[in-house]
Amino acid sequence: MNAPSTTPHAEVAEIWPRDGGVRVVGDLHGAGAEPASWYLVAVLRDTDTRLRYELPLDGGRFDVSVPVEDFVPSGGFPDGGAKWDLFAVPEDRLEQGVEEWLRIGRHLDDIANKKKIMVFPAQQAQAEGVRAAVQPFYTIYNNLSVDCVPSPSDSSGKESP
Amino acid sequence: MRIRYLLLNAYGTGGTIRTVFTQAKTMAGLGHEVEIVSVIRHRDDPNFDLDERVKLSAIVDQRPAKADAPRLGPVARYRAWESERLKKLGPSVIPTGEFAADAFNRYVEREIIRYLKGVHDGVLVTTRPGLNILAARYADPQLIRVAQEHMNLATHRKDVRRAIRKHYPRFDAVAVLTNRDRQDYEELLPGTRVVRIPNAVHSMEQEPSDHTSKIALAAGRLSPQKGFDMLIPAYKKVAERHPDWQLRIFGTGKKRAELRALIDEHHLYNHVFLMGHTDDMDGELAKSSFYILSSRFEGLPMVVIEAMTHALPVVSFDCPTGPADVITDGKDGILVPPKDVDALAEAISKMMDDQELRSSMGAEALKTAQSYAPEHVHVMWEELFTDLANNASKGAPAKS
Repeated sequence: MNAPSTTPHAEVAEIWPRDGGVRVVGDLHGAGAEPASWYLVAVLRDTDTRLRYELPLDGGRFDVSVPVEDFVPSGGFPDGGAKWDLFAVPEDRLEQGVEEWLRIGRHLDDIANKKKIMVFPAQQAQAEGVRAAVQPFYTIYNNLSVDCVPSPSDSSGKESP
Repeated sequence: MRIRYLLLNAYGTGGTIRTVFTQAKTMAGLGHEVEIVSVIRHRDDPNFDLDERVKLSAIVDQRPAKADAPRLGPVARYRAWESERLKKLGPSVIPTGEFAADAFNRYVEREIIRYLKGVHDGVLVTTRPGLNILAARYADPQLIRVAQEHMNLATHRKDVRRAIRKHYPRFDAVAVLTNRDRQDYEELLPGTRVVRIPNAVHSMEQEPSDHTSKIALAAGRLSPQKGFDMLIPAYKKVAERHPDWQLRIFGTGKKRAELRALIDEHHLYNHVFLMGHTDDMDGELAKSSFYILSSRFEGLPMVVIEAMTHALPVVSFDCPTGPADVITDGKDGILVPPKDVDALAEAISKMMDDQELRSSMGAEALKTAQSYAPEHVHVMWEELFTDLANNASKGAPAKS
């Protein structure tokens, strides 16, 4: 599944889960410069639910932040919590399927299994009348996803550090 | 010559076990009859490769009983009941300040003493204070007895140091790792032969670092001893100046969750990685640009010397003991005062600033590592054992 560096992909450089947002900084590799506008699209796994944000580019570098509340699903939580998969999408491909989009991930270094090594803290989010923990993570294929699980009702609303 | 090494647990991981396996292999290669005796055994196979000429046995087998084990008779049942009772009691001989005191319950202690009383020939090498104290008190005085210190005297608690002073004079030799520790032991044990024999690196034929990667490496058990709880806050200051670098900490241990929380607290999750265990430490060392030791105390930190065999310079706390024995400040690495987090951060930044410095110090580090080459160190053991056998005319067949 590791994307060979010749096919276009969106490579993560840094993830900053703090101050109420999940900020992702990275680089678009081999994607060409043709389309003027790119978007970050978060897909709620196994559903048609999408979140869309402008993906400002400076050279090949993108820097985007999503408020944690946005990851709390409006239609209730699937079993095991909500998992959002993150994609970079040029404007002219927004109407196409996910197979035409660039999955955001981290593939260009020597750390093979990031899931257990590059680990990020969870933040508390409150939306839709529920409290939830929002945490970015790498999948076993080193792609970037965001996990959102309801917090136990007795937990404090304090943000994790 | 018959040489027995007594280890607390040959089936665990750690520098002592690895070192003893290497020594045993060398001694077997020189034609000696070598056995490693593990006090406890909790798994089928050891974690490190053991030379096939070296015999491995255990005193207390803690592996779960097999389902098809025969039913016990009344006497065996009584013995089992008695053993269970003893296992709940603390040791009676070994001081409670022994860092491994938990492993030495009354039952384990009794079994070690039984074993020691049944050995009557050759060299007996014991490898940690608890075992040394038992060997001094209970092993046959006709044996050539050698106590190994794999940590250092100053690190031991008061009750352990008292027991060392009382019992170690019965040893034919006490072997320590560093010059500083030899001085300490000679002061405590006037008249006892104290020798300094460092541990050997496993190979001098290593791939050198080219010092271009932006990776700093640290490794060790995730425990308070290794001081990663000081390294992470130090790295906070470093990451602000060198955001393109990363720190990789290899190892597993009980403090993992706490260190993880510390990384999160300092927002270092993009720069500091808890890498877990690796089967290829040599490869990881070769990929990095320098090594960091943040320990509170050490014996002789072998991983530092292993790093030097890859031409890596070292930034280290000048903790007791080891770093100052190995590293010459400003030549093959940078030594900073122990537990001085700001000085550690400063030294790490200095190393990151200057590839030329890393390369020149790395070349010196490679030279330093030469004196820990296996062929250099193992001669020292061979000479010690031969000398003890000749002088004492005991243990090995005496030369007439």
